[in-house]
Amino acid sequence: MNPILECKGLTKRYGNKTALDQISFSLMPGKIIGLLGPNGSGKTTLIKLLNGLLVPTEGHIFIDGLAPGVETKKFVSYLPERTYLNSWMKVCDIIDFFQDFYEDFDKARAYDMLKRLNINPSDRLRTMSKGTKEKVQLILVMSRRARLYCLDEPIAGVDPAARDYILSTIIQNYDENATIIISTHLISDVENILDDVVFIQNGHIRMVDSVENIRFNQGKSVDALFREVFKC
Amino acid sequence: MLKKLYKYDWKSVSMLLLVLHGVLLAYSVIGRLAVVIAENFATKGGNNFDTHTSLVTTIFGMSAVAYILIYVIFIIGIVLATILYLAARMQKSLFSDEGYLTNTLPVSQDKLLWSKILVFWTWSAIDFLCVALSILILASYPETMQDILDGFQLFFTSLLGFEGFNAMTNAIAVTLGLIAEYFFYMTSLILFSICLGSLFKTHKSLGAVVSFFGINIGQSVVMLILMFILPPLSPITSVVTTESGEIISSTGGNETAQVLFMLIWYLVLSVVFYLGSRYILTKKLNLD
Repeated sequence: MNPILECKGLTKRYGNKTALDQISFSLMPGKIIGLLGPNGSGKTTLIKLLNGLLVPTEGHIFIDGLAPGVETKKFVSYLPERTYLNSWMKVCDIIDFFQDFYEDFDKARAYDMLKRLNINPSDRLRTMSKGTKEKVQLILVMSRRARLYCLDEPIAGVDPAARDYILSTIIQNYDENATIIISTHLISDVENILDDVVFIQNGHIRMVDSVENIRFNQGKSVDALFREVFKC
Repeated sequence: MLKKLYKYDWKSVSMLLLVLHGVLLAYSVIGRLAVVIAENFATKGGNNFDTHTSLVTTIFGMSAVAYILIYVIFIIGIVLATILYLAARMQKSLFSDEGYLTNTLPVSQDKLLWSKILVFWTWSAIDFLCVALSILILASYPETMQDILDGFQLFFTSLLGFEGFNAMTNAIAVTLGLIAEYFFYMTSLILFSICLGSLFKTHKSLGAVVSFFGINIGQSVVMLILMFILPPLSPITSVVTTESGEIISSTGGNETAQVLFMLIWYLVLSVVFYLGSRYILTKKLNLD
């Protein structure tokens, strides 16, 4: 079985600043993986590299054995940490847009999630609050039957009640063979749904381990270990 | 996929541009109606000239001057606004927050670029037609219609070779040159400048503007130097003739060669700019 994500000596520099420094690791498919680290640790940079939004300075990144490109974009579903949708569009227009471009998009699933959240498909995005826009984006991303979901800070900007909804949406709407990478620094909110964790700090991978191992062998919660590893 | 990309790119820009061009045509129709009213008034008042008629005529005259002034500003404004708006939309779609969606679509960079280029061409053509139609609405009268038709006839007879081979070559070269300059060179330069602007650390839009004018001025200087260096293209001509007008010797280029050179020059630059844009999107994309 191919790793779903593999990094080999991956480096990304922005001018003099090194965001990722020679990182090498691989992740196997079929798991929910937490990409955990403090602000500015390189989580978003890694996710952007994975989605082809940045080009590596050195090294390589492979998604299911392929370099980021048209083929990988067909099966990677990406939720960025910002609103990327055209504000003049209606929700139903955006759903049509996703269906036009992504073969794995499930329109019925999207409408079902909208209905459960009481979001009117005829509403325009510019009339919506930031939180509702984020929910629409999450619905779009999770309505794809993708092999890899990359969720960058999916719960950072929403209230605790919405966080629960978002996390349950994530769990209920992915196929078991798919992989989910959740980037966040809000460990306690996500640790119950994670299978594996990747700790990242200052552009270096500090640890790749399973949540089970952390709990049973080290006798700690992921949140406690995170606080220990990233103690200021 | 290109068709789908075109559809959404078209939708994203067309609402505002349709309104703008609709206003231009409506303004032209209002102007034309005003001229008809003024003409009727002048015809009726011609036999009964008094102070009141004179005042109304003055008001009509002043209104006409104001109208024409606004019209000229409107025409220039709408052409510039169309280009700037399309360029701004290209930048936003590729390199702003929207770029996170655009650049994660499962389509090649070629298709992304061609979709933007085709929308740009479509709207440039519509812009040209609307401006031409607007001028026609205002300027087509029985007295002027013959001149307009004569102009069209001369152009098309030249293009079809009825005015001789040289006239035909010239007409074809000029037409192709204009198309190459506006549709190919200008569009690809705008796209390339936006891509270059995205490489700037800060002030990306300013970077795109600086790149646009920098490249444009640079290529103009190089083109001018080449035209002076290469004798067949030289804009300076000297002809030595006998007293009877017989040509003894002549130096300098000819118009057809110059236009053909410009046509090739703009086409080559267009290809270079397109490949440059593609290279930046493929190898240098760095969304903040």
